[in-house]
Amino acid sequence: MRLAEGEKNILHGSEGENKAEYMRILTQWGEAMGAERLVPVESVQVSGISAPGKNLKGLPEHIVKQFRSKIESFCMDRVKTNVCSHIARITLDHPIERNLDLEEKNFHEQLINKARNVGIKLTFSCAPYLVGEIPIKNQICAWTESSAVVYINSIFGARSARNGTESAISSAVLGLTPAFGPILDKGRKGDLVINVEANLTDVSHWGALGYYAGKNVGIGIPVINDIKRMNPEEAKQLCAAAATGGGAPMLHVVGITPEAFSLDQIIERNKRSNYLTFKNSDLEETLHSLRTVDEGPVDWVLIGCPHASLTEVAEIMYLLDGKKVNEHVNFELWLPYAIKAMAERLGYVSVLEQANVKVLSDSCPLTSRERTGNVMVTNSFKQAHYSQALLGNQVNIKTTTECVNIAIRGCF
Amino acid sequence: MRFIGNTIVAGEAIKAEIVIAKERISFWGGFDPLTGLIVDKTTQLYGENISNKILIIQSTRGSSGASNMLYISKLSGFAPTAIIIQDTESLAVLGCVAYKIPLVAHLTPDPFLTIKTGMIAELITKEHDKACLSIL
Repeated sequence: MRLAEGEKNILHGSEGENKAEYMRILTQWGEAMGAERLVPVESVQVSGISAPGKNLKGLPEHIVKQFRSKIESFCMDRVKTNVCSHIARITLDHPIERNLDLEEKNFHEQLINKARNVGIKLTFSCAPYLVGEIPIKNQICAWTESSAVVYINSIFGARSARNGTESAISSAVLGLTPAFGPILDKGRKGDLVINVEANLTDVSHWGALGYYAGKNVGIGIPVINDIKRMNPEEAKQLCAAAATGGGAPMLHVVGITPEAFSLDQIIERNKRSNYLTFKNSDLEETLHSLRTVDEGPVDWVLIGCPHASLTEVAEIMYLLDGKKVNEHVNFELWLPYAIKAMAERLGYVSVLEQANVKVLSDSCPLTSRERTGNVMVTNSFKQAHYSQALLGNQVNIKTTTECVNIAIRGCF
Repeated sequence: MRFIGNTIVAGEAIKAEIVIAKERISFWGGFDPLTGLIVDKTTQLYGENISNKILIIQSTRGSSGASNMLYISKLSGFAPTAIIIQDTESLAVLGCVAYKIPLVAHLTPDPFLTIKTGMIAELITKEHDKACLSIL
């Protein structure tokens, strides 16, 4: 990798130890990934700037201290780019009911202050585009959260590699990111066509399509064909599931996403012959692949993975239609704080809470490691895939309407 | 048996047991950093403990939280001792770069044909140079 004179100086400590380490991370990472140089970056989504919550459960005090120091170190240098943040590991909502440790709460609030002092906006969402972080086509970004990277690359035509905590904070402070993968034109071409024959009538079906695409394409880029229309909530599930099922940093939907005008133009001729067809049977099979239980009581319904939009909050309210969630069911609706604030003002939260829905912000069970039920029903592939491994609950994927009906009944 | 690969992150010479699978593992969501166990039921490595082992996999997949999990596993003492991947996926590389876990890519000949979990091996890594894995 070729470094500019100024970049070399920073690597050798001209701006201090912290920045030298950040430069080392970006250059070593970039070189391994085939980048020839660092480029200026404008938008960063950092992650990991949050109280650790239950993630360090059982570890000795001195290790927890070490981990907290590391997090604090991310808020020591003024950032050079626009910086928003990924999800928190705790929610500040209903602290008593959710057993929020006072020390965690204080540490978390201190972080919010420290982050503000260096220019980091702790927006705490896995879907920053819901709260106004909307990159323009070709804008170079360094975002964490794989589902969000796929979304901004695919739906907005932005350019971000799949970052982690360490590369994101390095990029935020230095204003640079290594140019590899989807940042380059050659890293955005399609690798596998998926012709869609199945009827997609719910967001969970779009998740199935994404999951199927992700699993079949490995680290390549899927090209979804034969789609006539798509809305933002469907796109969100498609992208999140693709990021869960595989390593692709983006996908294309022919005729819909900004770079895929036609099949010919987004994928080379020699790659078109190995296409797959996503039929109704594939849809069924994919839905089934993550189901571990399909009868009996249900005690946990989860909507909002990725975080729910204001549209989805309203949708849940209308589907409930005045009925209450069964007393044995924990119905969690996760969303960004900014959306919750708007939903509160519109009266949605009060209607939902009266129906026994818990409207919760900033976090989610996967990041907080909070398991609040044994049998989870969700419309999200990402939540279904990861919760079984991380939290050990049983799981089933259903349509949004079915999720609400099951929540009312308390069973399948 | 000897295998050669590219050193991505160099470290001290290592002698350890191997855990191998031609799969894509997610370090966030598929690995418990507090025990070293693979917890993803959709992989053949489910239940395998990779702490202090040489992990040889096709690559990684899924979440950006991978590097965080590798950090926690290093703090808890349950990190793999080295990782060998055939595809350089950005998050595995980042975790190893950031927390200095020896990482080797593109091993030849194909390790999945002859290496089995449980074999003991020596791994020598050299910065910006080739790495060598010898089965003992």
